[in-house]
Amino acid sequence: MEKEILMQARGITKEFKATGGIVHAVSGVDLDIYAGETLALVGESGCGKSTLGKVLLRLIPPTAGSIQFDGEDLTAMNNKQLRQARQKMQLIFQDPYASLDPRMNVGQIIAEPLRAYKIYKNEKDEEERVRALMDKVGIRSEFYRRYPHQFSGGQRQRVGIARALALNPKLIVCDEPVSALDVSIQAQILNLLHDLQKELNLTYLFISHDLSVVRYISNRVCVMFLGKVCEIRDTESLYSSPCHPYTRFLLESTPQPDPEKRKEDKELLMGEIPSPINPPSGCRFHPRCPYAKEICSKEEPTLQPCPGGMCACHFPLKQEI
Amino acid sequence: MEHKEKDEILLRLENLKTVISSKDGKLVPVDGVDIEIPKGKTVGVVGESGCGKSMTAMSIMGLLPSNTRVEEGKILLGETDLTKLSPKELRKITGDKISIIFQEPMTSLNPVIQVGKQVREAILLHEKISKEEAKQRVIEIFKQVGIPEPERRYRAYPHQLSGGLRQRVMIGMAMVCNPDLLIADEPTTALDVTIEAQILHLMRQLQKQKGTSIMMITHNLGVVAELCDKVYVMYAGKVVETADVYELFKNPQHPYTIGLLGALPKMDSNQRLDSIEGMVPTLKDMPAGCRFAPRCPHATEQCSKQQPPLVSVGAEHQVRCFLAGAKEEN
Repeated sequence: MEKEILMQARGITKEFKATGGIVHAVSGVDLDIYAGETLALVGESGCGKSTLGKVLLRLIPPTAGSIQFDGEDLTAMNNKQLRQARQKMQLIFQDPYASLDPRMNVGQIIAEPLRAYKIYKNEKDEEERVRALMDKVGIRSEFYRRYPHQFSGGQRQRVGIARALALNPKLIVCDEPVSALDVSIQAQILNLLHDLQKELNLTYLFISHDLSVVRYISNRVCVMFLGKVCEIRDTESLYSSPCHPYTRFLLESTPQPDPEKRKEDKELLMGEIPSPINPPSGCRFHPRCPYAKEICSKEEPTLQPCPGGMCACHFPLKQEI
Repeated sequence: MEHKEKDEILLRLENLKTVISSKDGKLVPVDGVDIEIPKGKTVGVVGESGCGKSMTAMSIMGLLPSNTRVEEGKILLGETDLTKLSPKELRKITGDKISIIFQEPMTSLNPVIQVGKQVREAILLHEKISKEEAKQRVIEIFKQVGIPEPERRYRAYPHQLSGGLRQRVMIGMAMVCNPDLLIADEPTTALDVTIEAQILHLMRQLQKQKGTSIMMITHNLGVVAELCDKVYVMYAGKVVETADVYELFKNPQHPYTIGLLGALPKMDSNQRLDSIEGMVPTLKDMPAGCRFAPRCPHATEQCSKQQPPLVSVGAEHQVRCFLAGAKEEN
């Protein structure tokens, strides 16, 4: 089956000026997002996953690179064209406390995108649509005039989701949408996102540091380290047999809720994340990598095909079949 | 496991009740909690926001806000009841015998004092040794907690260190007086997963070397499974279940524990998650009966009227649920 590409990014680079030099947040990333899939971006703090998410939505302009979205070139658009394109792509944030205006009631918050694009001529239609959205995300529609502070974290995240759905987008970038929530609420929101995707044929770019959550929600996973893609593969293959050493350490480091799997002598990834101001030469992971050889510090590995996707490593791990 | 020797108990909380006096009246974040921490073991206290787990730790340390106090119950360290001590006497014990580390080391460290000096201060407060000797002790402990270049890092300010290193400094400060008990309140929650693994490993190593008991307060059942010997699950101010860690994960009995475990995404499956409907009750309107009854799929009329007692369902396995007892009888 030929998969339809919804977004195609090539050579995305984003640099920021900072005291002490230039921060290389994202360096030459190629990414395809297929229609109807959930692609997860994972990595630790400072790996550039959130920056990449923002660049792909053109919320911040890339330093270099091009982005095709739904047949159009986002990087060649003027502001007016961008505004039109943005109807089709939305964002859900991590912190449901900071991302809702405390002085607007829920009805106004969800209606805001509708108003911005002048979708409805009369208020009644608009209210009807907002109430339908509230129903869809599981907020009782009698809460229409309540304010964000009257809701719990989980409900606020639902409001954020309803707002993102208002314009019938094709792509939703979810930036750590459940990281601030308790486990029982997290499960509710993950299930909701899952159901909405099926019902509305949505495409998600799911940014997260939590590998268990990613395992649950995604079809494919892109692992980033210091602004580069290490490995991008379908979820099943990546979790059963990682190719890149960094991926294996991430998987092994994640505490598993099963004491039988406890390994007291598990191999730890030593050291800390290097600075994106002076990224290491060659493979950016080489200073922390226990398998690094001379070539790793000299030559940058490129993405090469591996089972279920691509991996950028001079010495990829053996695949368990 | 049957012929296991009874562990010697280091710290015992008996019917601990901590209350907040607020404009909404008396609120009870910790409501009759019994916890035992054996010597040299790691005990997990796990639960979601607002379950009272951190407030329990603060009650032990005497670090409660001014409108909050321990109203009932005992905190027994050996024979000494910490609730009966004056603040000065308590301060002598905390630090000497009990230390605490927090989630965000940045807020626990003074930003304008070199980290080495802050740790040295902790030693000088509790021991009569010279400043130079104390400094050597700090450098020694920095080595033990895996801080590279300890002499240089001694002079660093908190903002010059990464989150992982700052947490190592905090652990160093906590361990420098060789406490009997280390209370760790979400120590790895703010850290990246590879750094989290390093810190958990460090805590395990230190425990092996020094025989320290650890009270691990966390929302993360993965961390519990990884590190703890025994677990207390808290919900809305009460312990709802306690068991040996293997028993708890294999044979959970309380509907809340079962719900929590079902709600966790697993690394080896993408089965649909069981979610617990509804949300945690607020302190202002606690349910009259079982705290979990409004969210419980098995709740009966009795559950919404009476508070269930903690009943034994196995060796060292207790559950606060009417149904658990019933199941056992059948």
